[in-house]
Amino acid sequence: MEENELIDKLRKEIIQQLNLEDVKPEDIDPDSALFGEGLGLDSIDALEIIVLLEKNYGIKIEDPKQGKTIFASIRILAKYILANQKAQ
Amino acid sequence: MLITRSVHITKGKIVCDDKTVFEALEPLPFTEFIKSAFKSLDTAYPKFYKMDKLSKLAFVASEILLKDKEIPQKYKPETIGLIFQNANSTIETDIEHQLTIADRKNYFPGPAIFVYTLPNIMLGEICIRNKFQGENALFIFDKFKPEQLFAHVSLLFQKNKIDVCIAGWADIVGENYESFMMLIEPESMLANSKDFTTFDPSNINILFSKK
Repeated sequence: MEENELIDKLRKEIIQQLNLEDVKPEDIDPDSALFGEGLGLDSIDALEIIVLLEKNYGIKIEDPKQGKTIFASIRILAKYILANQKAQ
Repeated sequence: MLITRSVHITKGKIVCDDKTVFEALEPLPFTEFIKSAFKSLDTAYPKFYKMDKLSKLAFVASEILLKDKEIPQKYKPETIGLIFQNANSTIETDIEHQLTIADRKNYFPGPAIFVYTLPNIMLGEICIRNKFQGENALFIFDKFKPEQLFAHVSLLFQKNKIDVCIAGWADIVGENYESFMMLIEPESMLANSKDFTTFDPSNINILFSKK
């Protein structure tokens, strides 16, 4: 899967998984910060994304602290998935 | 103490002080009804959509109960109490959570579901929204018990643990849902105390019985 294709998929999955009502996939800028501002995500959302990665992509994040780097933006998350899926 | 406002949500209708403030135009499943009711409040609070059914039920009732009452302006956050009752705890969310862990081969418990498997989380949601920090408790009984609610809330007032209280009931099982909430304030804080109902078990029962 190409990076941009994965970004589109992730935007839809995150909206569904995190119950982001009234947010459309195109509203999520792939280069903007996922946490802090914008979407108003919290620590429970971070745990939900960890579960999403394991369930949908078979990627296990053992240390939740890693999330801070991996979840910096949708693009960084997509790159991490592509790199780690190839590595497996 | 006086009941300065009451809100009742059940069977597709929301009544505030005898006035219907929201009613579904057609029979709707609870999730659709409560979402429509929330949207009618015109409140920007995205976290609502992440709450479980019980919290959504209590949250919408509290928004209507507290609207324009300026409770955070009148009372200190640590003196604003919440005392609730319900019968079925968080059974709806417990079942939802159980479904995520039933299959050992497809074992993905969702944190966003799991956090709502405690009924007093609905009190937390109201406190977070309004920055309340006072005493709060939830009692589980087989049915609404006005006497217990009156006794507990009265004791908190007598012991100066609270200056104002949001008290009532929120319960949901399937499509059977009901929330009844009262705002209880001391007479000393009210300019027009004659307009309100005395807080006692009989009056609580009368208000609760109105559907």
